[in-house]
Amino acid sequence: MAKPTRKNEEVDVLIVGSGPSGAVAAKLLTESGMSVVTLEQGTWFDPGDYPGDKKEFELAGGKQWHPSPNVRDNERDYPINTSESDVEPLMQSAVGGSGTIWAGHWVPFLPSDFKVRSLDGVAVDWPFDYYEILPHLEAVEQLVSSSGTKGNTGYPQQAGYPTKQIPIGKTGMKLAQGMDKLGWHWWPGLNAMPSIPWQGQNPCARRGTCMFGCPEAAKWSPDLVLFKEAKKYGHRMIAGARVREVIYDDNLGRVTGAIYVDMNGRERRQMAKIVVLCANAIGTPRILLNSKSRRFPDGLANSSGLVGKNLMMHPFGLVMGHFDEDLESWKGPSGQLINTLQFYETDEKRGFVRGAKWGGMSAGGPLSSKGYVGSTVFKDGGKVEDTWGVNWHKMIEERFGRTALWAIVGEDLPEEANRVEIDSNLVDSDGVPAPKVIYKTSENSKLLLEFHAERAKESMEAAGAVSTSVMPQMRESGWHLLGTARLGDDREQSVLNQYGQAHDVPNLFVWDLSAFPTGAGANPTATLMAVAHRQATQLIKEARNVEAA
Amino acid sequence: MAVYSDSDREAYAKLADFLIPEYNGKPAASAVNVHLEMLDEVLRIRPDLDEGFRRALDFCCGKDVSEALNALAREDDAAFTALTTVTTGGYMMTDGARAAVGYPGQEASPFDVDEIPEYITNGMLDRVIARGPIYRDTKHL
Repeated sequence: MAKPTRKNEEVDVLIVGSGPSGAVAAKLLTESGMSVVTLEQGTWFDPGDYPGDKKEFELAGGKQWHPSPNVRDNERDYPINTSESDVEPLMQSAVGGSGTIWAGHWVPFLPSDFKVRSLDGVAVDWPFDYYEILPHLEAVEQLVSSSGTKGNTGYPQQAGYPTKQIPIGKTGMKLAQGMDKLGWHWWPGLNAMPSIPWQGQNPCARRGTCMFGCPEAAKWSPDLVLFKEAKKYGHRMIAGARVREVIYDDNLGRVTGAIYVDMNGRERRQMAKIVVLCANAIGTPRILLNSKSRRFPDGLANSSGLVGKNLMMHPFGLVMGHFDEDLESWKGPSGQLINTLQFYETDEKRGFVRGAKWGGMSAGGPLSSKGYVGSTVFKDGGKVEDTWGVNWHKMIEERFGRTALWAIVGEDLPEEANRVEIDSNLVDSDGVPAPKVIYKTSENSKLLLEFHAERAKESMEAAGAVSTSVMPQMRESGWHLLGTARLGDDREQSVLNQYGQAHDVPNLFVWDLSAFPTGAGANPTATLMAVAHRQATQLIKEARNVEAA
Repeated sequence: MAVYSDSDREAYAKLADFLIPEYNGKPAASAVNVHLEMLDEVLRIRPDLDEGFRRALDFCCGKDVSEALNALAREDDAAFTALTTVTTGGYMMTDGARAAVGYPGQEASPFDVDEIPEYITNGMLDRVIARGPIYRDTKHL
């Protein structure tokens, strides 16, 4: 065990950001004997504060527990200029990062995801493949107390999960019946939450409120498990610490730590031999672009000019089926009940490349029912009475508790024009320049979503849906932020090498989703944690050879 | 938070009952007090709705309810959204409305983890397995 670190003492490793990748890094590096400090801009959440077990949960989810920092507008959030973005980025500022409010969907990338250039002639191949990641994936599946059913035919064989399957419920069964009728692939949902008490996590209680924070302390999140374990080995978490910049020493040619603003507004420094950024694909380029020096006037580690470029946000659509039967469709987990990879791989006949995973989910509480009708009734001469009054009651009778949905997560291909910059005016509550996101949905993404929505409708109809509703790409859907400091072998075409180490600065690493050169068509947290596990394992192995500060 | 007078609440009750009237055994909005303690409760939880809600009340004051709400929806979507969110949010937090729509809330649903799922016993999952792997392998690359 490393000796406990004291304030301002130089540590072996400074991690910035405490989401899933930061948590894996902190656990592994601390357990290996390194002294590690993590700086997190947010503060600790108590599961008892989450609204999911309270009557107001959906109301609170519209503001203080909303996933958009621009909507929450908390002092610990940083604002994002999204005036030139088709999609609103979503995240949480907390110890545990967005892992506190994620859905727990555990969907590892597929073999083809690492080789899209070789297979489909688009984007870039990763410098390593699925099989190199697999042992790390199996390791983190233990860490997150996953539950599921072994043998998914969507993947190569793998070890299996520590706890048994959580019931898929009436809603999951209804979705599965539609897929069964069509002869399409489906599999019981794999989730990062245990079905029995496991490693200090409680079993999933199927409240269906994962994305408002789990009041059961069942869904895996970094604050619940890995940081508590890391603390036993001497890890130190500094919450409420907003990093202004990473310090680069022009004479040494190394980073030496970070300047941050603490909860009292005081500027402090944390010195370190190695810096690992895990601040997400908007937060990390923001820090790099804000860290200017004589050698890096355009942002740290940015000789390629690619820091902030190639932002990917999965195109996301919803297809809902409304059924005669009472499906109790407010029940969870949400958490995926089932999923399908039937249309995941490229088929050129469809007119686009790559594909999407569909996650079968329950439709949520009664205020979600209000969203089923949306505001489109006011277009084309619609009237309030079309939606409200007796018609509102009828809508509730027909849909609430009787709606299953497919959440379609499609692959977004990297484009340099989609990017994160530093906004010329916007600052956070500490005066640190804030990011601007410039993002346009590609034609490939639009065609992909249209195709998948049609197939998802067919599956709902096969399952016996009385009617269906399609919500094409939603603006507030930027759950998965990727690609803004990509890894690769060519230093002119990437920011990092295959181990997430900056080509330009040997003691600077990026292990969050910024590093992903492509985004796949699947929820990325499983692969994020597996890749972070690989990178941390490599750093431990090569620690003596890293050119530290 | 703004203070709402009795007359404000009466005016709101008319709007709320237009949006959510009594129907098929379900109570009207005012019957579960969306304009009384539930209004205070909703705005305690969501003070950000107060401004838009107040604007909606002022806009509709003294007008025909249907005409006023249709005009509000077209001219001030944020105020209309605040009004409908306050109303549905308050309504669906009440025991009366929840009972009427058969909603117990997001309650915990314990389960037997050893129970064999129906999709196993009826052969549905076996049919997926029988169709074989569907991923593209990359071992050759």
